[in-house]
Amino acid sequence: MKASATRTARELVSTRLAASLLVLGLLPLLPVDEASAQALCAQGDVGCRLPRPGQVLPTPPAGKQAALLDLEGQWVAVVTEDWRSYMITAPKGDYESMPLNGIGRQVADAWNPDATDTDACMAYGAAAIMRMPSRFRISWESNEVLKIETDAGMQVRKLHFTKSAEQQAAPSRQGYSSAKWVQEGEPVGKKTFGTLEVETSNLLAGLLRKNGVPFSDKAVVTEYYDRFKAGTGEEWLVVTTIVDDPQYLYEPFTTSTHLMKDPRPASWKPESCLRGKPGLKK
Amino acid sequence: MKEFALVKVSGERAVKALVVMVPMLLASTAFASVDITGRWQSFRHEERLVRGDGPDLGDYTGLPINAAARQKAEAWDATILSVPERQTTPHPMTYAMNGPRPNIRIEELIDPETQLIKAYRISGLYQRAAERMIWMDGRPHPSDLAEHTWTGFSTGRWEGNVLIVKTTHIKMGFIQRNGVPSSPYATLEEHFVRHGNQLMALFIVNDPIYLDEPLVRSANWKWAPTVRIDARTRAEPADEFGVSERGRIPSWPLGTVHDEFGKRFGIPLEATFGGAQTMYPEYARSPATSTSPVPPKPKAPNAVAPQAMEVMHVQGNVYVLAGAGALITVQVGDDGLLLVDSGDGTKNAALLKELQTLSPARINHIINTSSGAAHIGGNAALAADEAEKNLLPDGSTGGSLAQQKAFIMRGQGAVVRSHENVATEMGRVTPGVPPTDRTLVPNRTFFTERQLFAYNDEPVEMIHVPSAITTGDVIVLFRKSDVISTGELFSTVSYPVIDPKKGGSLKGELEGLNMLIDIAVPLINQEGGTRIIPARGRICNEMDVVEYRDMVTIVHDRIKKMIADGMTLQQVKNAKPTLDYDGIYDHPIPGSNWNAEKFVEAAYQELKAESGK
Repeated sequence: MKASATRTARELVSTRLAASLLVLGLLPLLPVDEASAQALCAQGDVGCRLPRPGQVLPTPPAGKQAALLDLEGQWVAVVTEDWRSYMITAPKGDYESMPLNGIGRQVADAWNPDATDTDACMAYGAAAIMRMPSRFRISWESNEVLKIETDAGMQVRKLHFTKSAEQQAAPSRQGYSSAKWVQEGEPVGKKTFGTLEVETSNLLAGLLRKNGVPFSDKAVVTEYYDRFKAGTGEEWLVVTTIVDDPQYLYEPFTTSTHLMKDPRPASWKPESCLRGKPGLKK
Repeated sequence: MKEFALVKVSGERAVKALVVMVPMLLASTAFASVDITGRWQSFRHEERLVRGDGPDLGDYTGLPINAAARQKAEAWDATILSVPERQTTPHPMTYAMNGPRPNIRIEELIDPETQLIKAYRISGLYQRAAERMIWMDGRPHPSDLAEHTWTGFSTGRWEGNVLIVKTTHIKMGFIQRNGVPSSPYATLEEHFVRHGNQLMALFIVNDPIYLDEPLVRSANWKWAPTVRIDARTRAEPADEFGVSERGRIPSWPLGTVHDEFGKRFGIPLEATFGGAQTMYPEYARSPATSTSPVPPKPKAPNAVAPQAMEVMHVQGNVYVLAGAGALITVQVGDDGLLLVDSGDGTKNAALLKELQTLSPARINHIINTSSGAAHIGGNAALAADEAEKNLLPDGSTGGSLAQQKAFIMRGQGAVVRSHENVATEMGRVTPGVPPTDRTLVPNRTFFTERQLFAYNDEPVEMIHVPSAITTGDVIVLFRKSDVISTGELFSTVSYPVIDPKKGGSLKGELEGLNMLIDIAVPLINQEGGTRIIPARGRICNEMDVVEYRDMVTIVHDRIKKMIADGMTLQQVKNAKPTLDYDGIYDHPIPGSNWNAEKFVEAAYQELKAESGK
């Protein structure tokens, strides 16, 4: 009986050992892209797995062919948050919710609402444009470039899925945006899920809010684009925007802005950012 | 010290292991999805005032509210938070995830048998809130009869990288902390998505009573394994100055416009009123042209869907039965069944069948809370049912009416109790009104303030409410189970049916409601504890009665002021003093023509007479 028990225990140990070895052996075979692996390891994720020396990783998919989300179409901002900061030009010194540092506050406090020599388009830069009361048209300009147009301020953003010569261009209002699809969650059958991650730099200094709240040309903007369908049928696009500006902000400024699918082309009403101060006419 | 010998792994054993492990690995993909557990610190980069210190009075910017919501918000006086029953209320789920902060901890609750995620538990909601459960095990939402709570009832499912959560059964409350209301019919839909070390949630509040379009907001958290999570505080109300006037409910008079916010920030007054059109970009350019891409939905009929026959456990020995007229309270025990009210008498067979699912015991007591047809209709059939079942093997109808009558008249059925004024009222002959069937008249009445007896090892107390609806109304308290059956004194779907011809009054209604609130004791933070069964609607606790009492008080105060201002009944009606409550309480009552207009008329007549004294 004792021998039998020992044998059972040995079998159990052997089975567990075999299973463990099998799992350990299978792990490196699971697909992983290098950037994701390095990011995980940099964050201290215990599950990070860097490729073995010499291991050739498949090139992650990019652009239209690899799209995890269909973002095309016309979207309208539904302004339910920070209404007075975006639908009107808030009073001077009203920088509620903004993580401005001392220098940032000084700059904001120096804003002159009556000045006529300031660039009216400063509030339409990439760090702030997605939170503007605007409609947005998203379309593929090419297989590698996703284009976002706004009717408020008539801006055009280009999200590049592959490296482009524009990266070397002079700083601009919309800067240079590099984009990638990030797979998240477990696939269901062949269907995969994820988000669009965009990083924008090479920006001209501008305004985070129309009442003089600044961002500098050192700002880097990270965005996540997610699409949801509400139970009542409406389609939503949520843009999470993280503005990291070491010059004027004491911590990255994080907001999420919701846009609703707007199937009415006629509601597209382009208005130049040069047409004076945007916002509700008093 | 144990020694483990290395064992050579045979090919056969490896295959066995593979057979065991691969399905486990594959199965895990079906439920593991994205890990959202851990501690999350809220960003405060959006609406810091609105979500933090609190919004200004009159700031409804960006909220798709309708006129009813606006009227309720304009009447909201922050001093109401000092009313004892409102001092300890948590934030309802229509708002709680938005602020202040909250820093949250999300935990997985694992079913030990299946190792599947049974639920997510969220802690850290503002101070007094209970931990929130999001059930992932496929359980259905409760029926409309179930109690509402501050956190509501949430179920979730993973769809790819998104956790979608639906929450119903949320207590009546607010969507913004300056009195912008949410109704008990509001629901919350959430979409959680994780981006590396950040968590984003999209919130969609639908409220058919107060919103013209869904209210959509979002919030962000960052992963913060050491962040402090607020503990739930067990708050107790206190009148520190000893000056609280019982039943005084602060509110701004009808017609108040809070324009300070608009003036301070230079916002046109109309824009501060909110409304769906103010959410869209063109409102900033040309308010008159602003339209929504959401096609207008047909207005929901102002009626509550008829309740299906349903029994639900309330607390202790007490159950509630819906779908046969007014709600029927059922006490179950070794002694037999005790009913509070007997329904409208139209569904006796189905009712008896439902009762048998609770207990095969006989009905020994029926208490009538009033003489209303929806409360007494089943008296004869239910009181006689045991004997009739013996007479008629099918037991389906409780016997013929003649047999029932004969049985009751012989005094061999259940004891049917009430205040004596109910029996008197039922015996009253009113020209043009058919007399009440004598077999429905209670056979044991009392005339004192209270009547006590014990049944099923529990004290049962009948408390007379002398002049609320009629002169004979009672509420019934089950002391051990801690349940109160209120009869017509309280309803979650209708205004009080004050009948001056039968001795009812607004003043008596308010006294009755305040007495009810005095008796009820919530377990913690205006939740749990004493359960209350209204005449119509759902299972409640004290806070639901508080909402009702406050509504009656505020409407009373509005009409009283308008009378003092010299307004006629028609002028008062035109001012719509109940507009902000009509979506919740102005529903047809079967067999009655009572509605908001009649409630206003009754209140006006009484207060007008009072003002002339």
